[in-house]
Amino acid sequence: MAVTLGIDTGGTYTDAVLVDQASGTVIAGAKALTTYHDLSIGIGEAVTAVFDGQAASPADVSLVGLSTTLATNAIVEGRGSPLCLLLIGYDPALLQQYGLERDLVAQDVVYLRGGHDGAGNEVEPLDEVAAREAILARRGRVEAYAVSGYFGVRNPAHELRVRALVEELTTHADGKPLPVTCGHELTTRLNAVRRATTVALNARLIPLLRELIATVRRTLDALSIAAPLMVVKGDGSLVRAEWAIRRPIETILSGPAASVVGAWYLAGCRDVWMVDMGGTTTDIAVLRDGHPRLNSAGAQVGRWRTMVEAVDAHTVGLGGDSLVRLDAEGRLVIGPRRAVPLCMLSSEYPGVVDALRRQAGARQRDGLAAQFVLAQRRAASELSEADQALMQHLDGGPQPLTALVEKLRYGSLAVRQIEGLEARRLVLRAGFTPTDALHALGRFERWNAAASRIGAELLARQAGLSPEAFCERVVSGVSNRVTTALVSKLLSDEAAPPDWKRENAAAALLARALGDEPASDLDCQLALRQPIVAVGAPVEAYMPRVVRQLHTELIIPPHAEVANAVGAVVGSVVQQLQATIRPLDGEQYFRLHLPDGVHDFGTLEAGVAYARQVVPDRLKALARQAGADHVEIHTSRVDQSAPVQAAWGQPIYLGTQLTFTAVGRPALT
Amino acid sequence: MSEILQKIASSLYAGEAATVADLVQQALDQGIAPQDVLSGGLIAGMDEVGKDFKDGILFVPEVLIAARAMHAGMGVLRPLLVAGDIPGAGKCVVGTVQGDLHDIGKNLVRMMLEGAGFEMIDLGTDVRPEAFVDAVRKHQPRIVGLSALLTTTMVNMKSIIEALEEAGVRGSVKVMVGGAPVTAAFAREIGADGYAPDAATAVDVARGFVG
Repeated sequence: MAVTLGIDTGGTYTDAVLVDQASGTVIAGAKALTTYHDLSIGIGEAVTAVFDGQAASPADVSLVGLSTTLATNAIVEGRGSPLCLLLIGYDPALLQQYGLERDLVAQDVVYLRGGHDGAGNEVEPLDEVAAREAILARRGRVEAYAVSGYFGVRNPAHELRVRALVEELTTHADGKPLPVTCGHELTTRLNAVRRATTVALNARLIPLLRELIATVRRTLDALSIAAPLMVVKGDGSLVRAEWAIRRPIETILSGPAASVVGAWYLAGCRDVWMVDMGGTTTDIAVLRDGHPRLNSAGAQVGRWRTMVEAVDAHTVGLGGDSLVRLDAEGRLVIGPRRAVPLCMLSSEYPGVVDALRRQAGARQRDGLAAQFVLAQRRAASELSEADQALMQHLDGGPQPLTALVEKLRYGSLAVRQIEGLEARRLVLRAGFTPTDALHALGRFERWNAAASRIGAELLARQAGLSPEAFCERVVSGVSNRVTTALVSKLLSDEAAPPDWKRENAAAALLARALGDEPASDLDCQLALRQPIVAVGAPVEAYMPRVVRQLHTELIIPPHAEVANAVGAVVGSVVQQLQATIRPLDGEQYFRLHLPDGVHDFGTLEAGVAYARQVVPDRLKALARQAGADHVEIHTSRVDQSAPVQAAWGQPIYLGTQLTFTAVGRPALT
Repeated sequence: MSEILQKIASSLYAGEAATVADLVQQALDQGIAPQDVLSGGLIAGMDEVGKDFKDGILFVPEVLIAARAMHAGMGVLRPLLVAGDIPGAGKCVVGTVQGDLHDIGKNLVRMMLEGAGFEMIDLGTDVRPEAFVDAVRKHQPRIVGLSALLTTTMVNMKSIIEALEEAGVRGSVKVMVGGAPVTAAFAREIGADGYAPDAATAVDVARGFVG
């Protein structure tokens, strides 16, 4: 029996699934905690667990698909390897004038003379001497090179030349040069600054992704799985791991993309909204005609706007493991901080229940009740004296936050210190979460409900509610946040991003639609025209209220809890190539812009014919390199023209865009 | 509004350059703030010229003469405006696109916008896309205005917008286009932010961008 193995490393959990290849059904699923400091540990645990039920054996695996948050997280956290960014024909004065230098990512930027104009004509010859010097001077100090030329997407000649120089000058004894990426390989769009951002981020990620792929490969080898390994791109399609290593930037938003694809596959719906609720975050995206809608403006990750077309997902810092607390005014706040649920913590550390009981007997400081801190891992680098002292307190297991604040003698400053250590993933916060609310209400039974109940009592007392009423408020609070996020996403797409805090009338209408203002004479109803497919772990608890508020249908497909891992293995391999033809000199000739350079023709149709002749074969080869089998090519053509005033003649021809798309099944060998 | 400011406005409308210059000086001598002379006298007069030009009551020669009067008034006023550091409506770069030597329309727009308080940078005619990018770098304008009078050169407007896009500054400026053959649909298709069929409308469009 041939099976495919899907793996998803999410914010909280790493999921693994086995999909029977003949029937396409999910035959096993498993979860393990994501281990940030070394993702392969969690992956190993999840994969081992998925074979526990004997549904299949590792030898049956014909394909492994991986969706990973590595690239996204690394960008957000600013991690990556030293790189050199070589810019050809850029104007440093302009970048400085407009404060665009900080968008270049790299510390080490080299400006080279050269570059082209919008028609693809050379503005200035490439300064090869300077390029050689710059490359040689950095040999041994950087791990990757990034190259971007001014109007390089209209004529890649200078980028290609600099890439050849990098390959020539950095080749090691093993015959392999350092990785080098050019802007025109990652996009065909204009904006030299954002291409530089994208290509620099890509170069910085290469060593990280290479390392991850190597450890995953070792983990699979240890389990005797020899199948090809593929990675999910941000658009939901798959690429062979070796390809992903060259273009890691394309794997940003891999997780949300896999969720959408998994939701589509499991639910069998082509036009739906998708809500993926995890432990840390909730992703909202839309599926149109069976494909995830992509963000054509380019995916934003952290402070960078890239040129990568990835799934148009809206991410909210809300999940089953969001920390629940009361603010200074006693209002309920859920997330965005993530915490280990009390029920889960006390399953591992039974002493937590007693510690909670003791807290219940004493007067509590506001905002700190029922919270614990536990060590996550040893620091790889030196810690300050204060941080060492704090970490020592945690040697004996999780400590109540209130006790730490007292012991450390700088009162609330300790909270800030702990937040710093959390950001470095050295410690974890534990506390009351929506998952605890479900345990306390008896709607979810996996861990120790006793801890959840005491936690609920502690917070309910502060809020002046019964524990049951408090828990209900937490659960409905989560639903309200999901509904609000969905409405916000829709309005942002179709009208303008709502600002619920400042737009009082909009907020009042929303509150009525959510059912929060039963005393109002005005009723307001919202209706979502498409059904919602909900995937992720705790969706049964929160989504029914969401679909009631939005007057639509809820689909929770079987295996919804591991949909993202399913999405990691059921996608297609897709490669796209865009060719642009533009009129020059008043339509005297037509210039075709391809990734290998420019080609001139006497007529538009001659250019189109040439592109149709040469591009499909090249694209097919590219798709095979990316891991595709049974490749099919689709071509679309858009001619752009615009009308002039009456009496001035025919519409003006502006250009032609040819889009070639290759789609194939993942190759199993 | 004081009587003298009204006189400035009507003399400007009539195109009496010397009178406008004298009246501006008198107004200043009376102690009226330079900013008020500008907005209540010169710009008010130019606004009327714009309206009547749009309605077909005035024609190009009259507008040019009025603009010359405006210029004369500004000659008196400008040193004081700079000294008083009064913020204008913003900077605006204008030019006729590459391959096109027509400049009457572009000059009209320049003068009307100057009349509306914009600080104008005129790149002239037959301007290459790179020259627009250079001007944007040098002056950091809020608006770039493109003019083309030939169907064969209109396509170059798209090249300029692309050059601004490639430079990474497209989001920092508003681009408006105009010229006899240009249409609103053409402006949308090439990704311009605004279109003005005539110089008076150009003022409305520009004010909309900075307002």
